[in-house]
Order: sequence, then structure tokens, then C-alpha cells
Amino acid sequence: MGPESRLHQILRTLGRLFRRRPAGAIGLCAVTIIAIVAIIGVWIVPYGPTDANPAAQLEPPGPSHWFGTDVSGMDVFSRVVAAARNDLAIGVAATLLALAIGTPLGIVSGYVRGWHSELISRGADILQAFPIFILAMALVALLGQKITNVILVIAFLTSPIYLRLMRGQTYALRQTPFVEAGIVVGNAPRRIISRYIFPMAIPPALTQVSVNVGIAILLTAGLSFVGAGVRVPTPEWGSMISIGAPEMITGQWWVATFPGLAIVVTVLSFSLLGRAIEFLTDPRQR
Amino acid sequence: MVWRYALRRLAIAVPQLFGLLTATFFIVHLLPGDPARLIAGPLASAATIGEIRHRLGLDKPFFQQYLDYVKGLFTHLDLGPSSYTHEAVSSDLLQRFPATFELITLALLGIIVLSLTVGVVSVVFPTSRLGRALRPLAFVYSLVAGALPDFWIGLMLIYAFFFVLHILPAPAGQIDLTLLPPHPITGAQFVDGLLTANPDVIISGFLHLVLPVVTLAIVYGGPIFKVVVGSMTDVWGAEYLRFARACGLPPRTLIRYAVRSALPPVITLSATMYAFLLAGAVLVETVFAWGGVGQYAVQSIVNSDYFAIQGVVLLTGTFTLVVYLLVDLLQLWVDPRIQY
Repeated sequence: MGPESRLHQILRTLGRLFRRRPAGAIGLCAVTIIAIVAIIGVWIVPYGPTDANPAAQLEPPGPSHWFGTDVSGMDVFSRVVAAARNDLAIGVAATLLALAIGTPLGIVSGYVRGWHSELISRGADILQAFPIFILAMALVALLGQKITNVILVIAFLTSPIYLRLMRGQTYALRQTPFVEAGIVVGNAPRRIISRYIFPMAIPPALTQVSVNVGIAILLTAGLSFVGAGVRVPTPEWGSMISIGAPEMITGQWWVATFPGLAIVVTVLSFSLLGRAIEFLTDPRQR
Repeated sequence: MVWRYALRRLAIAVPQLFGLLTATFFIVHLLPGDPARLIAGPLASAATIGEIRHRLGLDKPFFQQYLDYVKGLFTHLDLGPSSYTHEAVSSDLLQRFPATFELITLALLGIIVLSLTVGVVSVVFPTSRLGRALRPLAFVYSLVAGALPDFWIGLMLIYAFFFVLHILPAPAGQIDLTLLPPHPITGAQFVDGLLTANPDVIISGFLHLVLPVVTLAIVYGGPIFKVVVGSMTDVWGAEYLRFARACGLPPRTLIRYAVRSALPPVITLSATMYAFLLAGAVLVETVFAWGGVGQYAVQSIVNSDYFAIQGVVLLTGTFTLVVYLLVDLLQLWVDPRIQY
């Protein structure tokens, strides 16, 4: 198969995605655009994202400041664009880490029965008994308010999602004839897990990844909003909303509105992307 | 039979609760941060920190600390002192919890009632004008619902209804600052206003409730909304309802049948929603200066109030556990198919 036909194949799959799952295709496009903005945005914005200008405080949106300025005269548009990189980086890093923690634990606890599997499952259950945002706030406060800690805490608290998902999948797959056949012909458990179970069990987790990036971004924004996440003046959507919050009762709506819209659009795009991933990882759709 | 199950479910709750309070202790105590340093601040001397550590019992062996914590909890609900309010954390929490409970309960009721209304209108009367108008709205809402930051929605509503339209009060507490707070019976000022029959407090309390409740309902209503509309659609097409319709029963009876059968999944989901709403209350209370447990949680984080943080985590975990227990018991009563 030459490289040309390979490209052809990808294009054909994308074409089918657009026809069968238009929402997923929109999500794919939107996330691509947001990712490009996150990567190159900092270099193309009109103002420095942390440059305060006392002469231009709380200016309404206009030709010189598209989204207006905040209370210290920082350009809201430049900050919304620059924040994309921070929010996306935290969201993606936390989600991938959660996947990396939850997946192996889930497979092992679904495949091997015994007290440690039980212990892992019960541990995850107890963790999920706490409202996630409150525990996240407490853990970041106790660990110290750093971006790496925000990532670690969100990853730790969202990993039970993957653990449960993979445990359920593994448990069900273990009883299927083809896995039993694999065991009977003498494959080692390691090989059963990596060749038989993992490829079959991972697609729902990948769909979940995309949705979880959105959840992680919402959590980050919430943490920063109450002052337990990314600190001012680092551009981050949640902390920008907290800067603009007092102005909502005095009428300067633009400071908090635009970063909030950025959150909504980004989280929505990632949840739509989940539908695209669901479609693309389904072997019946190839 | 039902009683046996109920008792067994209650019995499970005991080790669960114990696991929860142990987990809280371990999560809070095994983290690398030093609580004495947190409380003392970055400029404190080693002697001050040592003194604080001794006063809080943090210089004792780890297991002894755990035993003290469990004993304190069971003998007199002792959660330690708050370094910020200088009160016992447990009394701080008891004082503030009713206001939060009022908020999230009203939000949950609002979500259920609205979802059922929309569900009935769009499933039972799909061709009516209202039913047709609701369909695109419902579609957009179920798409966007999971992507909304609660604190931002709160701020948007404040801008619209306080600053632009002037029809709702400023986001500052549960009643107008000019009013004398009612005698605290429950601690939730609107409820206390009702109990003391104080008309000014009732009106002001109601107006102050509108925006935070609506915020929570909009942001967290999505899952219940989808389930209600989905199960109404399923039930409405079920054989027994088609038969009932064919028999000529009045629409009111049919709707009652449908709602009755659509209810069990809603009740299960309500437990999860209660936990989500409690977490959501943290940010929404902060935006509206509500003065409940949510705002207390933020205050304790910002001030590194160690025991208060532990208390909040324990309270919210316990609340979730109790809600799940109650829902399981309620389910027995609503869904007669469950038998053990």
C-alpha cells in the first residue's frame, strides 16, 4: 500500500465522519483550531498578556482592545488567547496522567482476582465518595499552590473513572471465548493482557479522555477562580473570571464574560470530539 | 422482606462511614505539607511552629493521632479548632450547613420539577405550540449543559438581573444587609424567616435565593433533564400505556402513570446530583457571598485553616454517603420491583 492510498484512506474516513457524525466532525475541527491558537497564540496577540497599562483601565471592547481591558489595564483579548495554552496544557496533562494511572490499575483489578484487586476497587470507591471539586481544593491547598500540583491532584482524582471503566471492560472480556482460547493455548497473563484485552478494552477510555480534558479544564478554572489554582497574573481563564467578578455588579461585563465564553467553547469542543473518537475507534466503522 | 433489605443497607453504611473518616484522616495527614507551618505562616520561628505542633497534638505518633481523631469524633464530634474563626470546626460547620442544604435542595427540586414539566410537554404534547418550541431549546441545552462553569453562569445572571434589569438584589448574602437577621432556628435565613413568620425576611430571602438556585439548576440540571425526557419517551411508548390510552383513560391519569414509571432512574440520579450540587455550591456560594459551608470551604483553603479543611472534606463525604443511603431506601418504596 503506497503513501498515496494511505492519505486517501484517511480522507475517506474523515469524509465518513463528517457525514455520519457531523457533531463529532465539528468538535474535531474546533479542537484543532483551539490547539493551534494555544500553540501560536502567544506570539500573535496584540499586547503582552501580563502587561498592565494604568492609563487604560476597564476600557470597553473597541478597535484598540477587542475584548476591552481589565482593572489593571491588561488586554483581555491577548489574555484569553494566551490562557488557552495554560488551560489546555493543564487539562491535557492531567487527563493523560489520569489515564496512565487508571488504566493499568483497572486492567489488573479486573483480570486478577484477589484481595489487592478488591483493595484497589474499594479505594477508588471511597475516593469517589468525596465531591471531586472540594477534595481537589483541599489537596491543592495542602500540597502547595503550584501548577504541577494542580495537574497531579486533578489526575489523581479523575483516575477512578478509567479504573472503573477498564475494570468493567476487562472483567467482561475475560469471560469471552477468544480470551479463554488465548489462555488455553498457553499465553502468559502478560501477553493476554497486552495482546487480547488491552486493544479491545481501550476505545471507551479514549472516548472518555476527550470529555475529561473538558472536565479538567472546568476544575482548573474553578480552582483558580477561588484562588487555589493558577495565580494572578498568569493568564488562565478561571483566574481571569475572578479578576472580572467584582466588575459584574458595576457593569464592566467584558472582563469576566470573554474568558468564560472561551471555557464554554473549549469544553464543548472537547466533548464533541469525544463523539468523533467514539466513531473513529469503532472497528465496525473502518 | 423490605425491612430486611433496609436493615442490611443500613449495616453496610457503618463500615462505609468508618472507611470515609479514615480516608479523610489519611489524605489530610499523609500529604507532604506541614500544617503547623501552614498555620504559623512563612515567617514563623522554629519555636513557634514547635509550639503549634504540640498544641494541636501533631507531635504525637501518627497512629496515636488517628486514635485521638476517631475518639474525638465519636465522643463529642470534635473536628479540632479553626485557626481562622477561632471556633470549633464542628460548630462552624453545623451553623453554616443549613444555608447550603437549603440552596442545593431547592436547586434539585427545581431541576426535577422543570425536567418533568418539559418532559411531559414535549413527549405527551409533541405537536402543541409549546412542545414544538421546547424541542430546539432542549436540544441546545442538553448539548451545552456539561460545559458551563457554574461561577461564570452566576456572574452572567448577576449582570443581567441585578445590573441591567434591576429586578433582583445584589449578590451579598441570604437577605438584605439592612434587615435584621431572623432568630437562627435552622441557620438558613429564608427558612428561619418562614418559621418566625417575618414577611420582610421571607420576601428578601426569596429574592436572594432566585439567582443562586437558578445558577445551580442550569449548570447541574443536564443529566437529570436527559434522563427524564428519555425515560418519559420510553414509558409513553410502552404497551401498557398505549393500552391505557386505548381504553380511553383521561390524559391526566396517563401522565400520572408515565411520571410514576419514569421516576425511579431520576431518584437514583438525584443522589449523584446532590453530591455534584454540594461541590457546585462552593463556587456559587462564593459568587453570591452566601455564607454557607461552600464559602467556609473556600475561606479555609485561602487561610490554610488545616482542621477546617479536614472538617469540610469529612462533612461533604459523609453527606454524599448519607444521601446514597437514603436514596437506596427510598428506591425500595418507589420501585416495587426491587426485592431482596
